[in-house]
Formats: sequence, C-alpha cells, structure tokens
Amino acid sequence: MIARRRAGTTEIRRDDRDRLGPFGRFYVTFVVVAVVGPFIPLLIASFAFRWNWPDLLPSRWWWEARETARLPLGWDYVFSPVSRVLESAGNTVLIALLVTLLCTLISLPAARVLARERFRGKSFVEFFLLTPLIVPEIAVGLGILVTFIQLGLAGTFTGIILVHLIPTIPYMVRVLTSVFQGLSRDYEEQARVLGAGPLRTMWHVTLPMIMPGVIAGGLFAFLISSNIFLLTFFIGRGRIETLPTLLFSRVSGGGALDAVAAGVALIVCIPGIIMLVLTERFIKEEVFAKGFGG
Amino acid sequence: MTELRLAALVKEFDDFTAVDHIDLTVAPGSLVALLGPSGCGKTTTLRMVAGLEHPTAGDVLFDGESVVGVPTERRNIGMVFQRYVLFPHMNVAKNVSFGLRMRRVSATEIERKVAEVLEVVQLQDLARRFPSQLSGGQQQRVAIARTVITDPRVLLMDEPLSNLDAKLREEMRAFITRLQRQLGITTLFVTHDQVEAIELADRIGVMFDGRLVQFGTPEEIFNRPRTKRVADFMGTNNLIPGRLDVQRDASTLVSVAGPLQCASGAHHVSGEDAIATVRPEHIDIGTPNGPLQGPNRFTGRIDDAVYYGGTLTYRVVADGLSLQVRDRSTRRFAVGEEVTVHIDPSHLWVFPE
Ligand SMILES: Nc1ncnc2c1ncn2[C@@H]1O[C@H](COP(=O)(O)OP(=O)(O)O)[C@@H](O)[C@H]1O
Ligand SMILES: [Mg+2]
Repeated sequence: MIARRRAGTTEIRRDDRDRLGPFGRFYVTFVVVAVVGPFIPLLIASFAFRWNWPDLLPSRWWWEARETARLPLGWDYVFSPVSRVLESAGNTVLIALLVTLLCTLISLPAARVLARERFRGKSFVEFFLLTPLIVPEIAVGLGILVTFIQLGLAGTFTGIILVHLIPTIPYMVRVLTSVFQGLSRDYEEQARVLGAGPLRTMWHVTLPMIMPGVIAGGLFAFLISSNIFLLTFFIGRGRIETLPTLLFSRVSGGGALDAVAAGVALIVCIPGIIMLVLTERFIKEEVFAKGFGG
Repeated sequence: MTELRLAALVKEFDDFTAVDHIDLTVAPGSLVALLGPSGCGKTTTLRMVAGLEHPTAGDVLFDGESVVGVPTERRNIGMVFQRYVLFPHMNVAKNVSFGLRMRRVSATEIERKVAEVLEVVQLQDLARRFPSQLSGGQQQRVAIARTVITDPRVLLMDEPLSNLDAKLREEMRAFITRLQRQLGITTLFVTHDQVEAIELADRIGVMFDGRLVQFGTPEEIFNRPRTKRVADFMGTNNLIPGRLDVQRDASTLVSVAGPLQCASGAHHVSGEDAIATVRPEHIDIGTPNGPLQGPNRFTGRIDDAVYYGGTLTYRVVADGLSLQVRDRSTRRFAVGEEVTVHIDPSHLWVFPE
C-alpha cells in the first residue's frame, strides 16, 4: 500500500518534468530563482572587499585586499578562532544531534500509542501537541527562562537541548504517528506469536520497518534544531553560541552586508545541506509520499 | 501433542459481544475448523487462543492448564494470518528462522532446521529471495514454514487460503492436510468456506453471532444440520417444512406432499413445527413405472436439469415439493419427463423449525 503510493508519487513527479506546459515552466523557473536567487548576492558578498551600490560586482575582491590587510579578512576571519564560527558550528551540530536523538526516543513510544490505542482524552493530547507550534516562541521562551534560571539550566547545553525539544517533539510525534498508522500491527503480532517479546519485536521488526520514516523525521528535527534562534538566544544567554545566534549578533549591529556576515550566513546553511544530501533518498520516499504528519 | 480447550470463552468489545460462551475441544493432533460467516467472531476466538486478545470471561487451556495469563510470546503457538505478514526486510531464510532466533537456538541448528523445513515446503531454491519477489502461494508456504519450524504446541490458521486463486487454493489445501497429518500439530483452522472445512477438518464447529451452534464431524454437520441456519450455510438445498408426529422409535413429518417417514426425529417433540432435509445425492430417481409402494415415494416431473461437476442435478417437482436430485448414473431424463423419486428414511434428517 505504502509502496504503491510511493511509486505513484514519483511517477507523477517524473511526468510533470517530462511535459511542462508554459505555466509549469514559468512556475519551476520562479521557484528555482526564489530558492537559489538570494544565495547569489551572499556568495558574491562573501568574496568582496569593497562592493558599492549600485555596482553589479564588487570593485575590489577579498583576495586582492588579503595581502595588504593587517587583520584577517572575509573568509580568513570566518575561519579564525576569533570569529567563533567553527565553535558555533560545532555547538549547533552537537546540540542538533542530541536533540534529534532524544526527540526520537521520546516521540517513538508516544506516536505508537497515538497511532494504535484509543483512550480517553486522546484528542486533547493531539491538540496539546500542537500548542508549541501555535503559541509564540517568545512567550514560551520567556516563561521557560525564568524557570531555567532557578534550576541553573540557563546558559547550559542541557538547558538548550531541553528547550529545543519543545518545537521538535510535536513535529516528530506527528510524523511518526502517521508512520505507525502506515504499519499494520499484524507484523508486530506475528513477531510476538513467533516468540519475540515486546522489546525484541520493536528491535527486530518495528524499527527496521519504520526506519525510513524515522530517518526522515529525524532529519527534520535536526534541521529545526539547527535553525532555532530565539529559544537558543534566550536560554544560551550569550554563553553558548550557535550559528543562528552568531549570525544574529553579526548582522544586528547595522545594515551593511559585510563579507564576514555573508560568510557566516552561508555556513549556517551547511549542516542542513549536508543532512539533506545524506538522507535525500529517505526524504524523497517517505516525507513527500506521506505528506507532513498527515 | 497438546489438547486445546476453550471453556465458556467470552469476548466483549464495549457493549458488543463478539464471542459468546464458546466451549470447544481440539483433540491432540487433530484439526478443528471454525466455520461461520464473516463477522461471527472466528478471528476474535483465534486471537484469544494466541493471547493477542484478552478474554472477557472464560478460559483457554493447553493440556488442561490455563494460558490466559501467559503472554503471547511464551505460549509456544504458531499462527498463520489471513495476509501472510512476512517481514519485508528479511529474506525467506531469515523469515523462516525468526522464531528459532528468538529462542536463541544455535546457528548450526538453525541452518539445519531451515534447510529441512524449506525442503518440506519446497522452497529450497528461494532462501535468499525477499517476500516481495515471491508469488502468493510461495509467500503462504513461507508463512507456514516459519510457523511450524518452532514445533508449536498449537497451530492457528486464520483463513490462510482466502487470498489465493481457486487452483492454488486446492493445492494448498492438500498441502496443509498433508503437513498437519505429518507433523501431528493440534490445529484450529478458521474459514468461512464450508468446502474447505469439510475437506480439511476432523471436526467442524459452526459459529453464528459469536456462538458455537454445532460441533461435529464434517459428515454430521453436512448431513445432519441442527438448525435451519446451519443447513443453509452448509448449502443444503432440500428443506421440507412440516409438522412432526412422533410414534415409538420412528417419526413422521406431515408435509405438503403428505407424510414423510424419518428415522432420526425421535428426540423431537410431537406436534412441533420442523424441517426435514436430505442431500441431493441421497434421493433416488427412477422411471414412472417403478414400484410406488413403501414410504417416501412420489411421482414427479423434471423441471430443470443442470450439468455440474461431472454429475447431473435435476429439479424435480413432486406433489408440491421442489427437490434437488443429483443422479450419478448414466441415465438421462429430459425436462418435462415424468419420474418417481424415493427418499430412504435414514437419509431424512429432521430438526426443529
Ligand atoms: N478490536 C475490536 N473492537 C471492536 N469490535 C471488534 C474488534 N475486533 C472485532 N470486532 C467485532 O467483532 C465481530 C467479530 O469479528 P471477527 O472475530 O473478526 O469476525 P470473523 O473473523 O468471524 O469475520 C465483528 O463484528 C467485529 O466488528
Ligand atoms: Mg476474520
């Protein structure tokens, strides 16, 4: 059933590509320009030394100024310890990985119950899971900050990881619920009949069968975590810097897009792109076939 | 070999009773078929034996010992589901060895047993294939191999043939019979197909609306249904309504065609509305100049003739009765021809209306 639906989706998409009407062609061009377009000035700016309005290209490039400057410029600065870019990138990835792991471990049993069991108050739980997506982040963040300061969690990795679970768990639970709904419980029952206890059923049958969905969900949890600014900013209190907070402090000073900010902005995108490439196969098959949390 | 007993087994879902006080014993090494229309509670009964559903009341006993408190994985049972439910991420060998691996059997022992079982189901060459690369019949054989490899005490099968086409179904039926006899596993087999039940089972239990209505040998169920519903379900065509008149050890059913002598109505109450039934192949048909003395002989006329499955089935209208008669002889009667029909009293079975 799932397999068939999956195959169907890919087929439709391939067909679209094969014969695009004029509107289709315009639409695809528009999307590509809208997605890729903003990166072009960023890329150019990151290699610029002087780029004045309204020039199409920089009047002086980074490598031309590199020899004469006393301080590290552009990419040199980005990669120097002073900029804290590498440190922040490390923090971002570490936090995102731990958040993804914890989020998956917490969401798996929850999603299983939501998909399989009927119980009183189920619709309330389902609604409750949506509230972090509805309530403004700033309200959540402020409330939690007060508590975390008392608990000594403010400014710690633990604090940031906990707070990142707030937006990721509802998302993950929804994705995994639909994954579990797609897995007939016959397989687990068959495993039990054949002598596997609950844990071994989970390990040998359930997990392998839902793995593509788990990986797709995990990828998105990773992306969400590595892009969180406000909550990290509140709870990290400047002591722990991630790529989004670092970028914010680079650009919050004033208007001009300098080479360093452009460089950081590009680096902020890297973890997501790497994850996307690594798991591309799963995303195509699972997330787009199933829809988001359906 | 294990004896399986269900004792006053009940399952309620909310306020709906899916299984209603079922008492049933499957003798060690025998095959019992639970037969009934869709939704009558067969699967639910099986799932309670498997421990996948907890009984509301009653008991499931293996060799007289209750297993209700024993979790599924420790009941040492085998179950073949309606859909074969092969693990798609494991090849045939891995699927078949799953139960042994869960029991921590040594690798060499597993290898030996898998080879042995795959040979029994004739799938030696497909051990490395994945389920998606197998036909329906092959998948079914893998499912059965996977189930019997652990020497289960009780084998449960839930309409295992309903997904196969007619020819394959016949083959698999023969295969299951052979395997079950060979291994001597106590088996509870669920089906809604009376032909399947008759062919496979040592005993048949007929279920309607969660109740076990009749339990007996296929021959009993087929020839001596206890209620009209069982008779209908078993595909009995000749139902003759009337009123019972019981005298001494024989009884008479007063029908529209006059009194019919029946041998087996003695335990019914005189004056009761009742139905007599007779299998089409148990009615003798002859030319009109045959003898008309003796009980249960009528003159009639051939109304219709259908050639089916190597025999001719006639519809004979006689004295207001419409009877189906299957004639295995080589005689041919034409539609409209006059005939005499004779029903031996021992073949007329009477049950209350
Ligand atoms: N988990 C359940 N919850 C509620 N009703 C159920 C459940 N399982 C089965 N039933 C009901 O119990 C009845 C018997 O079902 P089942 O045992 O599957 O019948 P069969 O296998 O004979 O077709 C059906 O009416 C079905 O709708
Ligand atoms: Mg069923």
